[in-house]
Amino acid sequence: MKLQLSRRDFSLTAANMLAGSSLFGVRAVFAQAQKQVNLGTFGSIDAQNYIRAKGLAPKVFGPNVKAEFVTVRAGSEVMSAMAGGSLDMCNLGSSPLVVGYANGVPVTLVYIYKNIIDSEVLVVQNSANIKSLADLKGKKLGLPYNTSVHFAAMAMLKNAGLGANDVTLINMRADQIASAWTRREIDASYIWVPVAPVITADAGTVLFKTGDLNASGLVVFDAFAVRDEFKQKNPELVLAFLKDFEQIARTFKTNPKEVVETMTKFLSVDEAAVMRSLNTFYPVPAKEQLTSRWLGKPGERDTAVVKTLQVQAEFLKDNGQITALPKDMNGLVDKSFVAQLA
Amino acid sequence: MPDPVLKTSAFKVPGEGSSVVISIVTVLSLIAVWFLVTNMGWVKPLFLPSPQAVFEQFYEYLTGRANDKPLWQHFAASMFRVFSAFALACVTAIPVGIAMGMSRVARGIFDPPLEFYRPLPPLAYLPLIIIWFGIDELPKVLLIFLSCFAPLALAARSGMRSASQEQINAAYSMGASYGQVIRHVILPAALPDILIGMRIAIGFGWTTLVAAEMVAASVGLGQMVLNASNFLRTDIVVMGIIVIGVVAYMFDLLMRWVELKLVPWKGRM
Repeated sequence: MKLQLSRRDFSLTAANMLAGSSLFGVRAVFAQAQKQVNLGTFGSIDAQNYIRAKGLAPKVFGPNVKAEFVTVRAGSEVMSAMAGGSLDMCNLGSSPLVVGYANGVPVTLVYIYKNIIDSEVLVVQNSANIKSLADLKGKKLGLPYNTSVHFAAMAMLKNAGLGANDVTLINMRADQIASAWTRREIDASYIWVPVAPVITADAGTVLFKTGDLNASGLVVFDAFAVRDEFKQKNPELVLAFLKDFEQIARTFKTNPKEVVETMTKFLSVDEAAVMRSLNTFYPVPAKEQLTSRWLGKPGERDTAVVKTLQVQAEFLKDNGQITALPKDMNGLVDKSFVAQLA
Repeated sequence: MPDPVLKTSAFKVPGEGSSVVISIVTVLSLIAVWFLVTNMGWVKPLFLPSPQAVFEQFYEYLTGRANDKPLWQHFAASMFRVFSAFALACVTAIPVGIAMGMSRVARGIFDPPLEFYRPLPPLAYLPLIIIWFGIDELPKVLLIFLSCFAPLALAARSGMRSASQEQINAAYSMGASYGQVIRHVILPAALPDILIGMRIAIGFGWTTLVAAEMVAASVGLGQMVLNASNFLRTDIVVMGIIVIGVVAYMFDLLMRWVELKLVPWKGRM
């Protein structure tokens, strides 16, 4: 981006920054020129990447909006980027979202992006002789910290009666897991698609699915989060994206052939990988999200989603990853968009 | 007439005089600005935590009350990685550099690989290191070793050229053998450069520490910072950065002192 500030803009910005009214005053000057949306994507088979692959951005947001795609690798990156104001909307696991909320990042959950059932699983080495969860005792479990799999793994271990010190958790990025797995340096890994199928094929067995946590009343989901300032200024852009997301999500399920064709070309991955991602993708229609099983109707408090977020916050607090519980978890959720969609 | 307030010798060598007081004033005013902007609420704690919050984290980590391993464990793990890699680099890179300066064969062998890998960012070859060497201590030390090796070898090599032709010829004319010229003329002249190379190398070592500890580490200062940034704990991040910075600075002061003792002839040849 070329930095073109007039002298007046520059002195205004400088004054702004000096007055401390905004640390990112420069960005405010740009924002006036043209509406811009910074849409995050994990660079995998998701709706944002589908929009990018098909060049649908002008159709979704209108011709006068400049859409920038920001590739992120983890939910914690989403939170840092939103805190810094360089990312407006993105999906992410509920765990980093709670961490962000507890640390005062101005973001809101507006939509349930997907229900996580079998896209995130615990895979164990066949050679490690792990037949049940209790056998995990004393084993090495590799997973990326502060992600939905981290939370799911902690909940799983707790349900199995294992404490935090019974299993050696190793913080690893998803790309490191596959190579550590091949070298048999970890006994198990709780990880997502596309890494999970790869390591399962390499002498591994799936022992636990995140969906199994539903039995204990926990729903693990990917949330769609929006930066508060962006939401207040451009609610119509948020709604526009969610509307098209619902439609794309339906296409993912009803017409996978077309999606496979588009995404294999765009990401240069093989068809089977795309199919696996689509098969483990479970969108939740807006109508369903309005029930108390998910977000609930506007005004409804302490619905299943809020309860899960609360449990998650307590988990994080117990592990010393956040210092204080947020006062009211309901403040993280904004149901007005879902209500307009249904 | 010389200006009486100017604290220089009569020769007015550029950059002469002590800078300690100025350095202390700079550090103090930086900390004062930090205090001011955070305690006046001009910057949110998420972006820059207050010095008090950072110090509190430091205290909690120091006393082991933080919900993590105590600071000394992180510190010890990182020190082990950086200094074992650095020591390894010293015993290998300095001889290689000297050999490169002495022999055209050694130069021909080592120059291409050294110059090829030297500018590569460690994060670029990190995946390869993991696949080849796993996730134990070895890849971490190796990564730091590689980043120390190149600057050290290059410094030693260029140091071999710092003895002037007159000095070498003078030694020869007094009947010195080739070995004696190397041992008594060229190596002493190269020593200041080698020491500078060591200072630069250890700096590179510290810079690579965080990248090295991205490899499935459960202790270490770099890992502590990375993990805290995952959880948006800016106070721990800043604390870790300060600890790394202060340790590195202390070591640099030590190296300067060693330099003063070991090569008093530096710059006076």
